[in-house]
Amino acid sequence: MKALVIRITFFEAFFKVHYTKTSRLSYPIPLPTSVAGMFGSMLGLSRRNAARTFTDCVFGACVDSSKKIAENRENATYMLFSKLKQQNRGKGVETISILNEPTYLIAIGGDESKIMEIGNQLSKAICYLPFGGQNDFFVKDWEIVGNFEIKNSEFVSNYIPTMWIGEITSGTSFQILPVNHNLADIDKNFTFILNGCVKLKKERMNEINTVEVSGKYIALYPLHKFVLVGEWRT
Amino acid sequence: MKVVQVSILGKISGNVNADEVIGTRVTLKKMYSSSGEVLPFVSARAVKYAIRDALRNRGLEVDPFISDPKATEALRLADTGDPKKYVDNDLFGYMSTKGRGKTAERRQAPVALSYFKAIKDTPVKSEFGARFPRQWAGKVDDNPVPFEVEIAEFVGKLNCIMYDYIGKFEDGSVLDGGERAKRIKNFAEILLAPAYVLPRRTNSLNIPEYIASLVVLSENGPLPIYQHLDYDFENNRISLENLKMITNREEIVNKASKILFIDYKGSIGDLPQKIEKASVGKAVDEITKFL
Repeated sequence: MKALVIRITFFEAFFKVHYTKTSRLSYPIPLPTSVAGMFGSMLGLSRRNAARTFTDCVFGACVDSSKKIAENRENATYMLFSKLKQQNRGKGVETISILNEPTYLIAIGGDESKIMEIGNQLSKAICYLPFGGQNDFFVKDWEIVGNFEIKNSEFVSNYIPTMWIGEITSGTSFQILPVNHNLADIDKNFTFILNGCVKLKKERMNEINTVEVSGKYIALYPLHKFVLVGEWRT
Repeated sequence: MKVVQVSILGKISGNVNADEVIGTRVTLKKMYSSSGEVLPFVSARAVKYAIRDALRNRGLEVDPFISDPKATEALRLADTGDPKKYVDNDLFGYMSTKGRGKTAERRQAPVALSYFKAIKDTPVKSEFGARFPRQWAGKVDDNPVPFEVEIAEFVGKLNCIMYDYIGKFEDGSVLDGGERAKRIKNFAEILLAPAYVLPRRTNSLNIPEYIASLVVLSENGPLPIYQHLDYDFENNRISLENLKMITNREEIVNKASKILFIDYKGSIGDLPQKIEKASVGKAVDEITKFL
């Protein structure tokens, strides 16, 4: 199996943490589902077609080591509608976390011929501009890094179910956030690695596909291991 | 895929996109970066609102929205979802919710706009004012209530992308050529002139003061051009060095059909090769013809 890796920078980005409604948080790294959306738009696929095309593909992303992730805060006014008190609408202000100029390495993995074909298509032109979570957040720059071999690794430098971590290497910075996934039954938390890497538990070492790019181990996951919504579900 | 990409640098002054009121202070929408920068902005939503108003003033039909106070929460206010009739449903897309568990009807916008955000750290000042008791309210003897309004003056950047499916719909139908061209021309004119008034204004009408626009027409999909329009604050002019980098990037030069530059201040002499100077009128005509 091969993986195609693209370096992409956004002016701003926001990848909503699923349970946050008013004080909306952003995942620091796009989940495989968001990465699939980016590749889908670059290839000009509708959501439904992308879901079909990417059935046997794996996705992942990691923070590009040369850039630090900076988080912005934006205030947003919200309005609550109450069924009982229609005249008395609650109004308030909450903050939204927005990422400032993040750079990622995003990867799609799969059958070699399919990945080569996708690479050829994207090197000629991209169809739609991918967005950083929502279409107000534009891409600043992108470049194809190349094709890489997918292997098993004992290290991960992007994200992983927290329960699967055996050891956190010295100097690693990370965030733990809940993710709607079915990779592990009990714990729904994912550890997002911003810098450095973690070592997998011995029994998990053969389970994760990773692609190594300039010292970073990007773990790749199939889409069906995450909760899909809308046309992606079909 | 044909696309038109536009990047605009412009100056914005005052309390344009007002944020929440804290006590008696009307704040300004701004981001705080982790390195301590304060970056005021006008949200993409506010810019679209202003453009939608300008389209309405030009006689084009815009979505009045469906309002049903008796419906369940998510369905109380919805987009009409008729892009053939309403120009804003066509340009900016729509999402018409159908209720819990049902997939919403939607149109992916053929026109996307970014935030109009300051490109460097900007000081935010406050202006003071007072609300005096009104005679008609019968409270003549009450004391005046002081308030503050946050204001800022900043050079910001607004990015836009226009795809070629404006006036083309999922069911395969296409608007009559004249109507389609009218929509593209009106939108391009309003955006590039600029002929829209930003929604909040405390001191005066708030029309952004444009400095320069970069317009790239491409038959080969979007190109990485947005980072190449920048402002040189030391010399108080557009950064020519950054603009030159466009011509150094083969993937942009080889794929772009045309690169136009609108200099609103007339302050730039010679432009780098392959970048053509254009008036607003010429750029609008080129965009309409191209798409």
